[in-house]
Amino acid sequence: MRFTAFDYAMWVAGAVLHLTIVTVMARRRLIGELPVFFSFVVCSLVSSVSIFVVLQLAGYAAYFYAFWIAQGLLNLLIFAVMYEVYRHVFKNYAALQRLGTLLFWWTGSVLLLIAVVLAASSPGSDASRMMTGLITIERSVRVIQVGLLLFIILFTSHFKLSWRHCVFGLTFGLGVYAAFQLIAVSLRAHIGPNANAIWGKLSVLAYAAGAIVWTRYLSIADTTVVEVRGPQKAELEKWNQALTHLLYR
Amino acid sequence: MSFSFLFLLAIALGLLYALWLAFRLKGIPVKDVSELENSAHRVDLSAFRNLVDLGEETFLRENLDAGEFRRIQRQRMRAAAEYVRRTAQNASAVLSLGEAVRLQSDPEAAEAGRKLLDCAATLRLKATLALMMLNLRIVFPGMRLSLGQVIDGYERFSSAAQRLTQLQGPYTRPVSATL
Repeated sequence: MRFTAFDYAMWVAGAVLHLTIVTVMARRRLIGELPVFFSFVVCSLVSSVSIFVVLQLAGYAAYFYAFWIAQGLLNLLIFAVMYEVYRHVFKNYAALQRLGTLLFWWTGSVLLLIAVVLAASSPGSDASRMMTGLITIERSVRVIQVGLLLFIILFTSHFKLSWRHCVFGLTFGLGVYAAFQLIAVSLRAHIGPNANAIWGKLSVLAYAAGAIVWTRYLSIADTTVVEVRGPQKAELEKWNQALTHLLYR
Repeated sequence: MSFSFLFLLAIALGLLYALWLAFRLKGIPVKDVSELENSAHRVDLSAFRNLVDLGEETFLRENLDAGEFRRIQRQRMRAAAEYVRRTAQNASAVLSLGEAVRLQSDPEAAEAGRKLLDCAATLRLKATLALMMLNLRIVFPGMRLSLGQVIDGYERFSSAAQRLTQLQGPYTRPVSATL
């Protein structure tokens, strides 16, 4: 595999974006609020630099293993980031938290099942069994990530829950990244090794797009509401009672 | 093109579309509670209570023939569902304030905001359940259905799991948190 000037340029751009995110998070004191996401960004930066160094010093074979090990670790961290997003979205809504959590885990289980079925039903187009296995795992992981993000967005949209700018941006960026990664890895699995170049470029562009979204949203301050009046709550409580009566009658 | 490839493409595009919709919704921030009051739907609570009153329903069931009862009951349930829909919209409007209410610097206002949000979330959840129930009763107007039993069952199951967790120690806490 040969690396072009575009690949190197994207590598540098990725590192710059990571550093920008780290700086923005530190300046806005968001590290304590989004510790898992911060760890993800730092790990991503470290792995990106390490892989680059491995490629220059040890050659392609070492780069291949380093890349897939880093990819596995980052994928695990993405799941942890998604759980962090989920916790942030629901923490203000105690009434919805239990239902949301139950549905979140159920969705995860169903997606895992779908991923296993998809993996079993498509044999892959690579001569190398190892490559076939890696692509199948990568695709399965992306299916679960995309599905869980879709669930979080649909659930919050249905109940019209509000997002903090930073948490919404985190989800938005993660969504863009996961969706394009899924398209890229599916193309790679469908077409075979001929799609390696498209896969690589699409993956890098997807990550860059996600990182730009993160940088933008992490910089926006949240707005606060001017006042909350009592009568509004009293009105909602009356309706709560009426609906409880209807549901229990 | 294989089915699995098209399926994966569809869910990826579905996520991008959902993100686009969420982005558009997020672009209309509500900054003041008075903004909500202007857009709130007025809903007549006593009229709603009358529509779902069990005594009223029994009276109609006993005094009308089966066909007529079903027709009238469907109309009543449709009207009740419309009321619940509007209430759900009002609750959603409050929920859309969300973090903006909670993040207020005045602790008293933040606490009031938290309570308001909790109340709105409970109402929104109940409205979803009530709408499911009312829609079922529009299809089957003669049906006697109480979601209370289902909710009670769920509550019992959930608290039993919580008790089990407390007995087993701190390591199983995440399991009970999912119920």
